[in-house]
Amino acid sequence: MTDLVNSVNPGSDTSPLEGRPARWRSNGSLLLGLSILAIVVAMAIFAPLLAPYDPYAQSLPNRFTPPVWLPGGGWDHILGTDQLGRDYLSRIIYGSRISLSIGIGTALVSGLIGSTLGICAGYFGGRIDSVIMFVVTARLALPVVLVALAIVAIFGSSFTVVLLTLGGLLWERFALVTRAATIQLRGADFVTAAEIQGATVPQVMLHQLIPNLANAIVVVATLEMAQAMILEAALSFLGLGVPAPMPSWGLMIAEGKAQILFEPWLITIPGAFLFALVLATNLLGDGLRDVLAPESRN
Amino acid sequence: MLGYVLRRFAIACLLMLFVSFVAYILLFAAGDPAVTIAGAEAKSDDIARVRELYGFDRPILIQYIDWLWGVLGGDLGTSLYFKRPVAGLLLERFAITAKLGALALTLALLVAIPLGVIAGRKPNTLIDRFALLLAVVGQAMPSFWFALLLMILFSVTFPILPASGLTSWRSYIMPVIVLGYFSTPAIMRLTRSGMISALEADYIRTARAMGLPERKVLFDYALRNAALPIVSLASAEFGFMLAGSIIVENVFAIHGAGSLAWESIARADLPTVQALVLCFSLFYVVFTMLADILNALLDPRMRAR
Amino acid sequence: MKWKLKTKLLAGVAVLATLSAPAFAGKADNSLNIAFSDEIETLDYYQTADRPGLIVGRMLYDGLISKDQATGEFVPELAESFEIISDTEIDFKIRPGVKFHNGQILTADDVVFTLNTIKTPEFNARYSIAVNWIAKAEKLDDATVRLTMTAPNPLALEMLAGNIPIYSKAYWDEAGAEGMSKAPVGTGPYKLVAMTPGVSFELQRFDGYYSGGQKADAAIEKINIKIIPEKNTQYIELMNGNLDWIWRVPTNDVERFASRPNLKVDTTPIMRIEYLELNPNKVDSPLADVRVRKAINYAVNRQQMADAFMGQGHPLIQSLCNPVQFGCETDVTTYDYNPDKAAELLAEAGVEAGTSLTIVPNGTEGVAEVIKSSLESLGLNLDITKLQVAVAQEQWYGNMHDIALTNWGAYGIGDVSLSPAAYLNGTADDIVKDPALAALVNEANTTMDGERRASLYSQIFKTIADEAYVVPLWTWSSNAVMSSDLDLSVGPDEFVPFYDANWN
Repeated sequence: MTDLVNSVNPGSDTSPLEGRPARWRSNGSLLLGLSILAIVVAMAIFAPLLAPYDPYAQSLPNRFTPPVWLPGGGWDHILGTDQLGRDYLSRIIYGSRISLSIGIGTALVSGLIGSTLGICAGYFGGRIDSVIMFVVTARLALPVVLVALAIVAIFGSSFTVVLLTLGGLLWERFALVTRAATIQLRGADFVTAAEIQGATVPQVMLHQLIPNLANAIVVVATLEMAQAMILEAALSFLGLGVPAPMPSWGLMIAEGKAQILFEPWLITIPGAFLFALVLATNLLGDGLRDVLAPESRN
Repeated sequence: MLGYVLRRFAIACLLMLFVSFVAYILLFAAGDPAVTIAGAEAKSDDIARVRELYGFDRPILIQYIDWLWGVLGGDLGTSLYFKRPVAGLLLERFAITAKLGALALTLALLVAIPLGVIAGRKPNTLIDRFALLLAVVGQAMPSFWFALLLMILFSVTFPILPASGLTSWRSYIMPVIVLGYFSTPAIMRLTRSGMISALEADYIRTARAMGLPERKVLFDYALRNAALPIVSLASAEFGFMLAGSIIVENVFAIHGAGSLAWESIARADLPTVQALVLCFSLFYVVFTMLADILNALLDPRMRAR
Repeated sequence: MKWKLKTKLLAGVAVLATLSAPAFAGKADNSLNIAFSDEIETLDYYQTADRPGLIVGRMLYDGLISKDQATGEFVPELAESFEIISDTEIDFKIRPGVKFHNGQILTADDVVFTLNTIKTPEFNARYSIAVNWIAKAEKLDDATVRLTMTAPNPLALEMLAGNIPIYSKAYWDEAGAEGMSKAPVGTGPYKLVAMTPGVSFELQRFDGYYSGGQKADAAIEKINIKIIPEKNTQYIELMNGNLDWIWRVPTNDVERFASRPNLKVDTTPIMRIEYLELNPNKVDSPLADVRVRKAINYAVNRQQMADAFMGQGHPLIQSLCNPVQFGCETDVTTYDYNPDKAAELLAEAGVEAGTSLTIVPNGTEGVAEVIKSSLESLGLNLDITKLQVAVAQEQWYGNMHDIALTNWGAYGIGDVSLSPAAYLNGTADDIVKDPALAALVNEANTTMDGERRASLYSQIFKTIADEAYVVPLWTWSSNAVMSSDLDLSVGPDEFVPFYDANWN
C-alpha cells in the first residue's frame, strides 16, 4: 500500500494516466485469467442452451448417481446427481450465474462503500479521517459471523441479503487502498492546480482523483470478487448463505461436505469450478495491476 | 511519542466499547436469547422463566450497562451454557487458538516472504507466476473443504497424522496449514511489490555496482525496506485468522476460542460472546497499535500525521 | 423405480477399499471410546437440555425407579418398591446401603431433599414439566418416602423413571449447582473422573454400585467421550479405530458402513416423529380453509420421501404420534398421495395459481425442497426460510409462517401425553387454537384412568386428522455405527444404555 505512495512523482504536473504503454497482450496472467472468466461468463449467459436438465428438477429414485467416469454412472447424467436426484451438470452450469453475480455484485457494493469512505478519509484528512479509520477498525474487530447471523435473522435468507451482507463485510481493503492513494495524490501538483482553478470538492474527486484511483480500485475489485465467492461458501457452511434450492456453487460445496467420504464428487466438482474461477479472478487482478499500474504493484 | 501512544490507547478503548455495544445489540437482533437458551423443546412457560431469570426483559441498554459494570469490576460473568465463570473458559480456549494462530502466521510468513522475495527478484517470469500460483492455491478453495481434503489425504489415505483433537505436536500440522495458507497470498504479494520497488531504488544499484553479494542486497537492504507494510498487514491477517479459526476448529475438533465463538453465538450465551468479542477486538487493537508504533519508530514521516 | 443400490454400494466400497482395517482402541483395555457432535452443557441433570448431557447423566445418577424398555414395566432402582396410595400419592421404600460416588450413604433424607428442592422456582429446573407436578415429599420413616402430586399426573412414574435423579443433600449443601456441574456426585453405575468442559469426558465404572437395579453389572470399565462436531471427522476416527461407537448417522451413510468388515450398524426405531405443522391462524392464509390443508396432505408423496430419506420401505405414520406410544390412535382419516385430488380441492377452495406460502424447516435435510417441488406442480409457491431455531420459533409462534417441518421426541417417553397433540391445549404453545380440541387435551392430561385417557386421545387424534391440522410423515430411527465386536443398542427412548455394553 505504501508503494502507491512512491509511485507518483510529485514533481510532475501531468497525471500518471498519460503515457502508458499497452502491455495487454504480453501479460500471461491477464490472458489466462480473462479466458477462464470468459468461459464461465459464457456458461452463465448460455445456461438455458447448455444445461441438459432443469437444475431444480428432482428425482428421488435417482439420488447420488455417480458421474460417468465412476462405476454406476451413465451418460444421461454426465456429472451425476445430487441428494435430491437433480442433474449436477445442469446445476453447475446455472450455478455459474449465481457465483458470478455474487462475485461481481459484492465487488460493486463493497467497492462503492469502501472507495467512498477511503477517498473521503484521504482527501479531507483530520477528524473525518480519524472517524472513518475508527469505523474500519471497528468493522474488522467485530465478528463476521455475528453480523451475518443478525442480518439473516432480521431479513431472512435470500440472494439479496447474502449479497448485501458480503458487500457490507468486504469493503475495508477498498477503503484502505483508496485512502492511501488519495493521501498521496492529494499532494500532487495536478490536483493542487485544479483546486487553484476553483474546482469544487466533488469535481476534484470525480475528475482528478477517481480516474487515477480507478486502476487500484479495479485491481482490488477483482481480488474482493474472489474473496466474496469463497466467503459465500463459508456462509453456506454455517447455514447463513443463499437459500436452497438455489444452485450456487458455494451452497453445493457446503451441501456436499456431508458426503465427502462416500460421494466425493458432490463437493469436488463445484469445488473445482469455484477454484478455477477464484484463481482466474486472482490472475486477472494481478495481471491488471501489472499492466495498469506497473509502478504500484500492490 | 508518548502523546501518540496515549492517543492510540484512548482510541483503542473507545473502539472496544463501541464494538462490544454493537455486538450486544446484534446478539438480540439474531433472535430472542431466552428462546435459544431454553432450548428447542421448551414450552412457553419455560421460556418465560428463562427470560426473567437472566433479566432479558429489561431494556437492552440497561442490560449492557450491567454487563459493562461487571467487566470494569473484573467480572466477566458466568457462561449461560456451561454454568462456569467465563474468564476460566476463555483462558482455556484462547490459549489454544492463540497458539494455533501464532503458528499459522509464522507458517504464512515463512512461506509467503521467501516466495515474495523470489518473485520480486524476477518479476513477470515463469518463477514469478509459479510463486503467485502457489500462494493463491490455499485461498482459492473454502477452508472447510481444504481442511477435509487434507484430513482425507493424511489421516485416511496415508494415516500419518491424527484427524482430530490436540493429542501431540502432529495434531497441529493440518490445522496450521489450513489456517496459515489463508494469509499467504496477501503477504506474498506485498513482499513481492515491496521488493520490486526497493530493488529499483538507486542505492540498490549502487550496492550491486559495488559488488555486494546478491543475498546481502536482497535481505539486508531491499527486504528491510519492504518490511514496513508487511508488519501492518500481518497484524490485520492475524485478525482474519481468528475469524477463520471457527471453521478449522470445527472440522478438526479443536476446542479453541473460534469454535467457542460460533457456538456461543448460536446458543445466545451472551456473557461468553461479549467476553470473546472484547478479547478479539483487544487482540486486534493491540496488534495494529504495535504495528503502528513499530512503523512510527521506523519511519518518522508517519508520526507527524 | 430405478434404485441403483448395488451400484452405489460398489462405488462406496471402491472408495473405502483404499482404507485399512485397524484394531479398535477400546477393546484392548475394556474401555469404550465414543463421540458426540453436540457439546455437553453441564452435568447437573436438571440444567442440561442436550441429549448427550442427559445420556451421560443417566450413567452418573439414578432415579427412584427405572423403565425396562423391553417390557415397558417400571422396575426398582433407588426405591426397592413403590406403592400407589391414591391418585396423587405414591410411597417409595428406599433401598438401604446405596453409596454415592464420594462414599456417603443414600438415605430417605436425600430423596426428600431432592424432590422438595427441584420443584421450587429458585431451583429453576430446565424442564418444568418434569418437576412442576410435585407438591411435596415427606419422610414417613427412615426407609419410606411419600410423594404427593399437585394434581393427578398420569406421567408421574414416567418422570420419576430417569428424569428425576436423586442428589446428595450433603454434597449439594457443600458444592451447590456449580459443584454438581463441575464434579458431579451421584449413585449411578459410572462416575466422572476427568473432564474438560465441552471437549472430553472420562467416566469410570463405580465399583461400589448396588445390585438389584437394571443398571447393575456394567461390563465396560472406562468410557471416554469426545466432542467432535464434524460428522466426517467422526467417521474417519471410527474407521481408524480411534472411536468405537458413534450415533446419529444419517441413513445415506449407514449403507456404506454396513459393508465394512469390522464395523456394524445398529438401527433402532425411536420415539421421535417428523411431521408438517399447518398454521390456520396466519393472517389471510389459505390454510385457514380445511380443504387447502387437506390438499397439501394429498399433494405430498410421503412414501417416496420416506424411501429416499429414511430407507426403502420405511413406514409412515398417519396420526400425530408414534404408534408404539400408549394412547396413539392409528385408525384415523388418511390422505394418500393423490395430486389430482389435491388440485381439485385447491380449485374448490378458490386458491389461485402463484399463491405463496412459507415453510420453516427444522427436520430431515432435503424434505422441504421436495415438498416445494410437489407444491409447485399444483401452482403453489413455497418459500423455504431457513432460520436459527430461536428465530424460527419466535416467528412461527408469531404466526408469520404457514408451514413448519419439525420433529418431536416426546422426551423419549412412550406416552402420547407428551406428544405434539398435547400442545394443542390453548396455551401460547398452541398454533391451532381449536377450543374443542383444547378442552379434550386438557381433560386427557389430568386423568389418571388409562382407559378414559386412551379414549380421549383417540378422539383427539381423529379430530386432528379430520381437520388436517398436520401432515404426519414418519418415525425416526437411531442409527449407530460401531465396532462389530461391540454389543450395544440404543433404546427406543433415544437413550444409550452404556451399562449394558460389552466387548465380545
